Amino acid sequence: MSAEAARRAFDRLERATLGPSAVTAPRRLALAGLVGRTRNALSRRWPTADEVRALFPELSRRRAESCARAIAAGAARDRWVVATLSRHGLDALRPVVSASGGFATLTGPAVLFTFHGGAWNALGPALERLPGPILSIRQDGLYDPPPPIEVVTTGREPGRRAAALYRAAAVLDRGGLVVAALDVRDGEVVACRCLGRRLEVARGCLALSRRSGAPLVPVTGAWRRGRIVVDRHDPPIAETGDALAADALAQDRALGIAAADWLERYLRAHPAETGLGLLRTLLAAPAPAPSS
Amino acid sequence: MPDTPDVAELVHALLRERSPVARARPDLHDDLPLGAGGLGLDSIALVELLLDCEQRLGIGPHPALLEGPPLTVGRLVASLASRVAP
Repeated sequence: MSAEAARRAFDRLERATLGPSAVTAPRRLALAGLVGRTRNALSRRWPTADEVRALFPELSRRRAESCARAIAAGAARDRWVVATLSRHGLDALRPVVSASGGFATLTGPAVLFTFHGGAWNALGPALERLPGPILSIRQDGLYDPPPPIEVVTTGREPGRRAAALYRAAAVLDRGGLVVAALDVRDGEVVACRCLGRRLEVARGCLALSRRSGAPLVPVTGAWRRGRIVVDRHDPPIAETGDALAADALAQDRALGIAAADWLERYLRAHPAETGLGLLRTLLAAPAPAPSS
Repeated sequence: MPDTPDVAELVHALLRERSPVARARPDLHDDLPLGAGGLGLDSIALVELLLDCEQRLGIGPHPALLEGPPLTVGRLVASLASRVAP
């Protein structure tokens, strides 16, 4: 079988996990992961073990191969989440998502940041149980969430980015929550380091946190035994040192660096939660600027 | 409460603080875009400008303000002035 034919076969298998069928959502999610893991085991690509070790050199060859399979499984599960949300909305996702106790007690105002890894697209069923208002900022829409969640998309357009940030400021002013991914290269960014690579961190949410005083809280959706657990990570991100007295850009940069440092610690502890896209972004990034 | 001319003065002063292009111009006419093709404010600078203006004037945000055509100096002044209590 040619590589192209194999790819098409695995794509068909993934589509088959979307339903409709009598198979439960948890089982379909597990099947999607199995297809992704198997694809990687056979192709040894997407990612390769060498790519994993380029970011996590402390891993043995065997661990890197296992991690590569797990990242591939996560990528396939994420594709399942995206397709399921697009077709069926939150109803189909609720059976597989739970929130940790810490997440369930979140209150605003706060800026919740995630990254392109783990089950980052699956936070909705956990968010909807929190007190509103809740504004989720995304580049593209996936589904129409029920209240108290509102989604605003930026479409990679400067005007829409400004409108999204302005609305987010108003939500924070009302004691609400703003949710966004930080590793977004669209728009104004601050250059940081993560896993020895350059990572561009979106400046918008950093500026919102700085300006409003709302804490910048990391949140994750992690794959756990075939389900998704949404969690918050304390303490909130804080800038340190001289940046406290510096101008707005310097303060945002300090927050961004602190957020990237948090992300690195999290990924080193959970390398299999690295999103395939984030892994590729980090590997393709230019060399980071020298430390000052 | 500030009347319309004072709102314009506030906006012009804040623009000159934030935009080198604004500082270089002798006047800031109403048709001048605040973003690309005009004063060059990026999305963060634009939002911070709006929030600063509203904070100084004691008024709340108006989310629809950025959901239409690109904002100009004149539209910003008019929007702020309309929301300032008489």
